Amino acid sequence: MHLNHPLPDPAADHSLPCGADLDELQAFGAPPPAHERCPHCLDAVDALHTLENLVRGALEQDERAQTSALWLTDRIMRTVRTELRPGPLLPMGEPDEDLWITHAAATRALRRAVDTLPGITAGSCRVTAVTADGERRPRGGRLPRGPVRIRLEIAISLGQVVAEVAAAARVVVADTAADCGMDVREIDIAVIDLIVTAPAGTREDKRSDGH
Amino acid sequence: MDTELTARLAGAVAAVPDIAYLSPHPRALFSTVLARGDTRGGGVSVHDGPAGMVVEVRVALRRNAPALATVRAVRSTAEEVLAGYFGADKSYKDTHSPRAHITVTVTAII
Repeated sequence: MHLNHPLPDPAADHSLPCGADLDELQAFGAPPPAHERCPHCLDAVDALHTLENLVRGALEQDERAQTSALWLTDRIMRTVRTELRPGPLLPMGEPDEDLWITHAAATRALRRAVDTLPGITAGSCRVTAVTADGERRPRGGRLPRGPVRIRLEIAISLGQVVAEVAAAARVVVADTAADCGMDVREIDIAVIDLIVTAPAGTREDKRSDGH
Repeated sequence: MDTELTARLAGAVAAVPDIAYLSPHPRALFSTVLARGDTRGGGVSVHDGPAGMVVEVRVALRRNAPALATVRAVRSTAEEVLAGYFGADKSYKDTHSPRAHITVTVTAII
């Protein structure tokens, strides 16, 4: 006996025993008209909702895992860069204490603290020694134990008063430097750029080219 | 120099609050961490200097840690370890200065 027509594929049959189409149920998320109280349709809708929640949860978990991996990689690489390029050692504490902090670690802490201020983005930061005659000794190795000078470059949002922003940044720098045990004699805040926030509807903030 | 003393120092310093990890010297980073696969003892070195024993400790601090207070706690901890060690081993005390010079360096705040 020859079959002129292939047997129907059960997997391709998307209809429920009541005749409702499973694809339509999935598309609309509810039983079709005249099937509102159909037990087959209600069970199918519940099952589809359960499946949808499971898939959404799995996707969110995967996204969190990827974000976490990127965050961890970023932290590891920043730490490695800091460890391998520590810069000169800055004195901490009293003159008779042999306590030091690397330039990279100190400036990173300073920048991070300033970044918490609204409308300010910290940029380059340098810590140099201040000698009795006011001259800055060249960097490298260890700075002499004694007062230091901090220079921090910042970018600020448009509409802010430069003097107020600089004063706020100076306070944060002074507090953070004190926490790090540095004897700060001078703090120079240089506003080197403006942050121009893009209009609503666009995602990027743009910096102006001017200084 | 003395691996037992170094290990004691490393263990005690690593237990100080707000210490993220002991930080090997960059020169030892590859040999200590990558080749041997661990950081035990890394970050603490003990050697004889011209004026006696020198203990160098390199640490990374946790973010928001009180840096100066934490570093001073590290130094105090190292002093306590040295005092205990020398008190228990007279022969070692006879050959090395019991008053070691302790240097603590913060390499990172993470």
